[in-house]
Amino acid sequence: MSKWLITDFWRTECNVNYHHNFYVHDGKRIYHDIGIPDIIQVGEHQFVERKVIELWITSMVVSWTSATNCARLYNSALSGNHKLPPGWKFGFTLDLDHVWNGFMILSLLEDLTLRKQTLSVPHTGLDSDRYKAAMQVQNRHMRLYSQPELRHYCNRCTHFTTDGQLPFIYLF
Amino acid sequence: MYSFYDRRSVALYLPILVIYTNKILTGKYKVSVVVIDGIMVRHPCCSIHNCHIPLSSNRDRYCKDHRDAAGICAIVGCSSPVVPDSKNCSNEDHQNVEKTHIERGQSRFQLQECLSRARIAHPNDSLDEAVMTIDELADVNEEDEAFELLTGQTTASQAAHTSGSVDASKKKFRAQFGRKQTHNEQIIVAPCGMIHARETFFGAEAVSSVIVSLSYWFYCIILIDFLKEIIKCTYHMPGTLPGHIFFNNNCQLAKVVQDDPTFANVGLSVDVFHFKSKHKVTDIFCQTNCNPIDFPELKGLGNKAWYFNSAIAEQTNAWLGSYHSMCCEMLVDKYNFFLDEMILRRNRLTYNKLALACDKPKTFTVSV
Repeated sequence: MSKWLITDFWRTECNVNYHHNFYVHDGKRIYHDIGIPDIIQVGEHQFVERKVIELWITSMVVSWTSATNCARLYNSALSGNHKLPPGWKFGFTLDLDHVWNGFMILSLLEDLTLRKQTLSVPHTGLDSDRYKAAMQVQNRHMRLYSQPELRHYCNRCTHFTTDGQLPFIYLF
Repeated sequence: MYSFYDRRSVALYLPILVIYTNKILTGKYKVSVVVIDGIMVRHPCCSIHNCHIPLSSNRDRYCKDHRDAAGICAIVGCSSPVVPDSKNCSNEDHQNVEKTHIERGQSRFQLQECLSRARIAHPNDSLDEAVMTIDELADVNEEDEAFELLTGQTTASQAAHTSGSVDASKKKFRAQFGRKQTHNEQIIVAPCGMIHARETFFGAEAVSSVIVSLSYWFYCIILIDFLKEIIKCTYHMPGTLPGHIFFNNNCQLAKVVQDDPTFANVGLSVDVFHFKSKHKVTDIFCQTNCNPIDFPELKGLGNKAWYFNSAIAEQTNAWLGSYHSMCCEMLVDKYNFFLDEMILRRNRLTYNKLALACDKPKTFTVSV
């Protein structure tokens, strides 16, 4: 599931460092505006398929799986018995930080793509602080507009009638 | 089904003032219902009462603006500076209180371990839970603690837990050693399971320390005014305010919003189960204003007693409450982002479920 890609090349004339999901310019990671990628970089040398991250997030939603257990789910059930190529010094084991990075990147990309915006996070500093500002923007947006399903209606939560006697709100 | 949802969301995210119309529904009347309920999922926050500034680190007791307060004795009411490597001042009694606190922390840890094995269904790590130092374990306790010390005797072993009998020879202290945590989360959920909004309630500790014996039920009363503002903020766009709001303490809410024009056409009643079991027959205002039977729009069709499932919030709470062990150590930004994402994705699952069950989930369309 983890794949290796040749991802890193440097354009000297414009000072831009290109990676698989983003380019680095002025100390910022700016994610490519191509929708949501199928392979997401979650660590220095770790790339994870979007499907795997979706599996993690779905386990969080339906069965309260913590990030540590998501990493364990991957390491023991999905990673397979890949052998390291000779001379490759990084393992295939993922940990909870990779899971959280995957969760943040995929969630933020999904939300921002819907709003036609680009994800931009600092390139330097700790992994734990990287998505803080982007999350704050998203949280403010959520507080202001609430969940998109605020305007939902269906047979179970809304009662329609043509009888104006009841204290119902008239729809114009 | 899924791609339809995605496209629709684009319109929903547009930050513009919209008017809700739906041509198909012209000439009809509607009543939509939401249920509000509290849930004990919390995150650490600054120990200063009702301070909303986020902590820089989960080890901190105070936010960056109140950092100076860490240099003040942890005993409530004492403003002397602390001695090094301690959270208390040089007063001998106060020092003994801290010793008791540390011992209590150790024994509490053992008890908590038993409890978590017996009860907690979703540990963060299914193999082993990393345990740090005793001090951090003691800091798990978020509220201020009560201590009693026997006068004239100074050994820590003689400091006792607060008991029912009040003895004149005992000195009483209240101390805040650990971090505080937020009070609870309130969720607004529709009877179909769609969660509309979530809001953190910060503490009301100043009041609670006066009325310690009051249960969580009465705690809500203090927060009613805040809740009113939340309802108004959530449904600030015209046409979105639901026709009926179930809340288990609606008799208080109804009193607060009596003169508020926003709530003029909103029915406020208590959910059926709570009304029967928890509301006094002698409370005239409650019995006349909050009885769900008084609202004809809630009546079910045919053999059904009620049209709406007002117990949905409890069912949803069981889901959201299970995140407690995952979220309790998160910093505020991640905590909010995580919970909102979980709710967003659960709403998508609910949408798919409703579509399969032929409940015709739709969205009030927008026209600019």
